[in-house]
Amino acid sequence: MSKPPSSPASTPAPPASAVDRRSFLRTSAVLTTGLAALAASLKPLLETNDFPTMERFLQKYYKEMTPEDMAKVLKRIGDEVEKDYGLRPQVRDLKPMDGVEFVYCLNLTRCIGCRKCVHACVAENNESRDPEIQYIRVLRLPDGSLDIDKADHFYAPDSVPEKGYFYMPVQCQQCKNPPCVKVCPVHATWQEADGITVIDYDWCIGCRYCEAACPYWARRFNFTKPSIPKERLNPDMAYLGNRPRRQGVMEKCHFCIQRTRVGRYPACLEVCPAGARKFGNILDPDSEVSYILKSKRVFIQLKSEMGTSPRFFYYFDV
Amino acid sequence: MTTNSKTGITVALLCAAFSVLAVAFLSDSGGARGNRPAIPLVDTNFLDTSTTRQSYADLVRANADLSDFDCYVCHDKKSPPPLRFDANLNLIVAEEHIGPAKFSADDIGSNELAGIVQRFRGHSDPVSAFLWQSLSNSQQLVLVNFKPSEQSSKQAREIVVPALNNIITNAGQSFYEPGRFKGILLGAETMLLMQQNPAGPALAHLNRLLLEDAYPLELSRNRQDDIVMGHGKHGRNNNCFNCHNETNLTLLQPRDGRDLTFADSAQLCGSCHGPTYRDWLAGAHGRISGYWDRGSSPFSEDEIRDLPKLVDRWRHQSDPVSGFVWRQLSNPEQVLLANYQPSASNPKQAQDVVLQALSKIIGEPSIYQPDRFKGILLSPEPTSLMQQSQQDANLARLNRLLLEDAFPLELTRNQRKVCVNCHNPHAPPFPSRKPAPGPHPLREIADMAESHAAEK
Repeated sequence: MSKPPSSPASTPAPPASAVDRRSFLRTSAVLTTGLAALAASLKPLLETNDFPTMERFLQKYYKEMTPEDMAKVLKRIGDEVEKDYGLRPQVRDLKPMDGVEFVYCLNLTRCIGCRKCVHACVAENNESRDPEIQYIRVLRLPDGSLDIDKADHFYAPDSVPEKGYFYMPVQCQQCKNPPCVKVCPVHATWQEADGITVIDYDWCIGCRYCEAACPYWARRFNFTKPSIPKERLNPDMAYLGNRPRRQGVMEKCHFCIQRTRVGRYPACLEVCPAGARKFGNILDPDSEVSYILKSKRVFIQLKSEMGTSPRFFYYFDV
Repeated sequence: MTTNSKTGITVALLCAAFSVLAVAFLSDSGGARGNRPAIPLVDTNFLDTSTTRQSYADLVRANADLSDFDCYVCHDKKSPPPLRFDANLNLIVAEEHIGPAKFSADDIGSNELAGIVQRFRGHSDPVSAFLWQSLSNSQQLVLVNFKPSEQSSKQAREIVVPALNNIITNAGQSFYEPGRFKGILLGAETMLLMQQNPAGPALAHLNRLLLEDAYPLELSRNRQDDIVMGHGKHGRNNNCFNCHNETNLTLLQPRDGRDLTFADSAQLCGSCHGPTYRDWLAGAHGRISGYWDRGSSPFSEDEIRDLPKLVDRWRHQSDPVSGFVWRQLSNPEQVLLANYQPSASNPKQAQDVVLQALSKIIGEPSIYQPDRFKGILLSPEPTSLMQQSQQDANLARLNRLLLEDAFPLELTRNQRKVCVNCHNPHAPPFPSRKPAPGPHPLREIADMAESHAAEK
């Protein structure tokens, strides 16, 4: 067996395990920078003060919960709200009613653009006041045009209605074929039997795919922890409705589920001073919405070309 | 370049990029949110969360005072009141219907008088300057020497009141001139009247309104002036007998010649506004609140219109229905309501007891018994529901309607409002409406609007 050739005596090779100064510095610089970058990218976690409790973390999927599970969850939500707001809420899990499919009709001839619906919705549904989250956007459009590109929703005149304009409030259209539901990777949003598309705020991971998919810009994301003054909290709550949301989850109009599923009208309808908003059960042939769809000039389902088939109809009095 | 040096450069570049990102993250640069424009509540004229008027039908059911509706307190049954029109064919409204146009000495209090005199003397605005010039030198001297003493006030009042009343008569002309009223906010009724170019008493009324608008803090508004003749802005429908029966003023007459009572006024509106009436019958016209589901209709706290009065009727068992409700209560509940004080700071307990009692009654079989509802005028819907068989009838709905009929002024009706709840044919419409009294779950809207108005 021959010996391997030895290295020349003038350039002795360093031992294999030794770390030279250059590579040590390089590795240290890379590691330090990498750790600093990792720490910086985790910085938002420092601002999060709403880590899930073990109970919430292990909570079952909404559709798999037994009534006992739900009772525990409702109690947990009640406790959390009481701790945060000093007020014991009435949180219910309201199920869809048999033989009911909700439809909303909005009379564009009557709407005066006063935005009472916008603010009533904020008050009723415990939406964040700072930053203000609003489910309804009232678009101001020039007369004779339906070009949404020309719409302005930051209008602020001294009084309304203004000459030469008409107003078109837009909120969740509760589509029959909702794109937002299709894209949700965790099934945290779905369509209920009465047509309302709901969100389970405890299941949402905040990926915002649904926001991107919605052609009506109807979904809102909680970038920060919602802030609601304690004295303004509406204690009449529903699990899939207006219970306070966390930072990092989506929310949207749910036709005031806490009201409509006990037979009441939504808040935006009740405050409308012009009687422009009509709501009811389309499966009841005597309801006002059935009458409107049968006898009025219902001109659009907004962006009907998207194939979403909204349950929200705009019509004119003629 | 060797592979080693390529790797070194890539790693160095990545390090630099990460370092920049780390600095950017930590300093939060570029992450600050810009301020979004506010989306305010726009129109503060529409404050009310529900309609505030009680319809004539409600008053009839409550056996309330209807003397305001009795035309024959003043008019003679045998001769219909004559109508007079001015040259523009506008109706000349009788002074009795629009209240006295002229000011009396009692209308102006001492503080208000001091305010008027101060504005006259300073003639700080065109209206005051005009009024100052209409005074004689001696009158001006009295006002210049005005002091808030009793004697001085009496003298000043004897000068100011006739000066104002002169303006009201103003030789048959409107006191309005654009330059004179620049910067003065005119009321809705003033604007409406000005569009009609009135004459006679209506003109005097207009001049009074103009003065009230010019001196909003000093002159009290004429509160009896809630009657405006002329239905619609076009001025073509200003004949009283278009709606009222001229041989019997307590009846209304639609176009088909029927006679209607005031309680059926919706049909009169419908005789001209046919499509709107059709929509209204179907629930598609006008404001509505309460329940879309006509089957499930418990009362909610904002549907108790007058809690003290309701509790009072129950505890005194002033009628058979109140007696029936009182007997449904448990002893502690009766004690709580018996001790209820309307001025109590927390009426919540009493309210809860009342809501529970009402819900319990609604859930029972029909509460109708002829003796119990004797003397109570039932509305058409419960009457037709009672004619249905017990299986078909919606008993919860029936009981709710019966309770509404039994307590018409204390409970809100969960049904379509009568036309005159929203439209008063004798008053300028929406801008003069006031917020509904009492708490409302959406009270925040009214609060916002009030603060908005205060800022303005």
